[in-house]
Amino acid sequence: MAKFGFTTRKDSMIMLDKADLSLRRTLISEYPEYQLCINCGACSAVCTAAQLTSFNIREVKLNIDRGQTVSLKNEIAKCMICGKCEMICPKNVSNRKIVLLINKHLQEQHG
Amino acid sequence: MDRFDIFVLPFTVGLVFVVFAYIAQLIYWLRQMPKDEKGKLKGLLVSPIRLAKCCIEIVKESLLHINLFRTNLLLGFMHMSLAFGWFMLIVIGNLESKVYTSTHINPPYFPIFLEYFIPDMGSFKYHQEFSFLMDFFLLMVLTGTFLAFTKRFVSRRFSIIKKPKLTAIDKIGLYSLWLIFPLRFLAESINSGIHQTGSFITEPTGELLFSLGVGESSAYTAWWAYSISLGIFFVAVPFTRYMHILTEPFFIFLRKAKVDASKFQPIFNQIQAKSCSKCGVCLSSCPLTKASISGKPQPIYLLDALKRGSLSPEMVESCLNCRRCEESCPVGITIEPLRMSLKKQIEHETDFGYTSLAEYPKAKVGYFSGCMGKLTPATTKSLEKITETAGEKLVHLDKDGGICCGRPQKLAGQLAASQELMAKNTALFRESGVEMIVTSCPICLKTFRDDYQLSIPVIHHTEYINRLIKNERIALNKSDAITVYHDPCELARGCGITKEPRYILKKSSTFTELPKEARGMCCGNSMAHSSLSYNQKADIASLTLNSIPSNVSHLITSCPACSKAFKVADKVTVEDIAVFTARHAYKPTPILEKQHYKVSETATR
Repeated sequence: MAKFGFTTRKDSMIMLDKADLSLRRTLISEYPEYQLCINCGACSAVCTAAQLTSFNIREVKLNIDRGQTVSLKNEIAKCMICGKCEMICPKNVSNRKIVLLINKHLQEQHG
Repeated sequence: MDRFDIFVLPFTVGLVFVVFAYIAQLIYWLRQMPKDEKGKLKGLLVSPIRLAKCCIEIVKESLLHINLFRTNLLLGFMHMSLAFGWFMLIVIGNLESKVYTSTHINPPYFPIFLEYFIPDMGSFKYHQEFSFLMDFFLLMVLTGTFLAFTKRFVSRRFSIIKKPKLTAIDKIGLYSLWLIFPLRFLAESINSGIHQTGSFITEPTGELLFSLGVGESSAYTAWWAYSISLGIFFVAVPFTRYMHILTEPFFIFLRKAKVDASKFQPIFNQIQAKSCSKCGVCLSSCPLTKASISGKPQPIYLLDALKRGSLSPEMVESCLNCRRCEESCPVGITIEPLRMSLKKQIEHETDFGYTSLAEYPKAKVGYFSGCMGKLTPATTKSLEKITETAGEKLVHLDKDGGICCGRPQKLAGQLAASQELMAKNTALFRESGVEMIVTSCPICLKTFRDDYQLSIPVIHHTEYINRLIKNERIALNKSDAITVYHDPCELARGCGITKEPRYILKKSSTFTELPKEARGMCCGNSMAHSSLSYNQKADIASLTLNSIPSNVSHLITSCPACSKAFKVADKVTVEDIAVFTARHAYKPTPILEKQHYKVSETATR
């Protein structure tokens, strides 16, 4: 690889080979439509919770895909599961269902 | 005259068994009921008018099955002829035995096997009349039995789309029930052939059998078989769905006494489970059955599982909660409390601290669009236009960041989260000083009315528009549009609002009703069902869309979730009632018009 003198800062690097993608796999196995998401962000645009906070369901899903689940619990707690995102989704993915599945998963993990 | 024969034993034992089982059951239920509710029962018993009304209801529903006739004529007739016919046979048989024997105390089996004990009853007074009546009602019951038998094979004729599964004991009950009346008919006919005691159906059959050489001994066998089938049926009753014959009158009695079921819900559910006749009407009215989506959330299965103790959260996770089953139930069973109590309770940590950032503006009459209402801004815009025309002021409460009403959490089993949001919303309403809330989301409406303890009225925008029209604040042009109206689940069945939208549509368009079986069908956009795929939702929506008559131009609804679900429609325009009304609303000039009218009136005089 040619070297142009650019580097990536270590702390903003995501090593997908080493990342823990187990949650993503669980979600896909329980709800295959999860993969249909095109990350368009329509869900975040209409989100009731996002009107008042920085809660961003699109970001949450992106982070899951990258295995970054450290702040997942705190983020997911802000969701009101009103289901608006589900009705606006152009790919008919149910974020409400995904959030409920994540909840279930978190509960199983933490007991 | 002999007054006993060994063959009456199976019947008598069965009868004694079922009577004791029933009394024990009633005592158990009554003991479990709280005192206040039992007081209500006494209240009904001492008031003759209310008691009479209750008895009329019992006759109407337990014997005549009027509600079933509304679902399907054949199904209603089948139940009516079996129940009412059998009841009349018992009553007339008892009268007959009293007239013939001149004693008032007969053993319980005596009237049932009267023709065995008094075979040559032809000489008695009034015999002609009695035997005609007995034949008439026997024919009625036999018709019922015949219909019940054919129903097994051509169930669609009876509006039964999906047949309930029967267990072994259910089958024993069913087959013995089928046998009872043909056997009675046989026994009576043979007797009539020998002694000429029959009327219009037993006499010719009797003569035919007599000419074939069927005699006294065959009659005896037939009486035995009749008694055995009755005995088997009676013993099976407490363990099968036939317990509803006995429980339903008690259930109607409870309902008429206006008991508060929530005070003793588990026992009430048990009573409901035993009142369910497993007729299968709930299966046929369920949108899931029509769209061939699997799962067993229908009351017939829930109540059966309750009886067996095999209820599981999975059974309700696959339900739309549209409550069409409750609406169509001929017995009037309420399944919603059982369903909600079954929801898997999830202890889910929430962080709704940020909701304190939400603020509702000061308002007198507030408009709450709700989460879903935000997705249909056209509805909000149209309502603004309508209120402007009417010269009313409607302040949009949750314009900048509203809080969810709490129902979606409740449906997902997150009760604590739902209560947190409800408390927040209640506080916000109080702060804004709002005196009436208009909402365009039926889900919010139902939650505000049922779960919030708000001291102010909450109405849906259909009711609001309706009031504006009735108070002559707005008037409507009649357009050439031909409309049908889709009843949203939570609005029609949850809050009972069905007349208002029809009134509005009749004023502004040519209104036609959807066919009865498609009326109020769920749109599929349900938050209660946890595993519906998009295609399945579309299948449910198409149940309504496919049944719209071809000349219709507009499908009008009044729920944002429904309008979203029907957006796939290609043959009709789907619109919220507010949007449709806004296009045809204008400001009337009532005072001037009336004066003008009066002037012209006096002029003609």
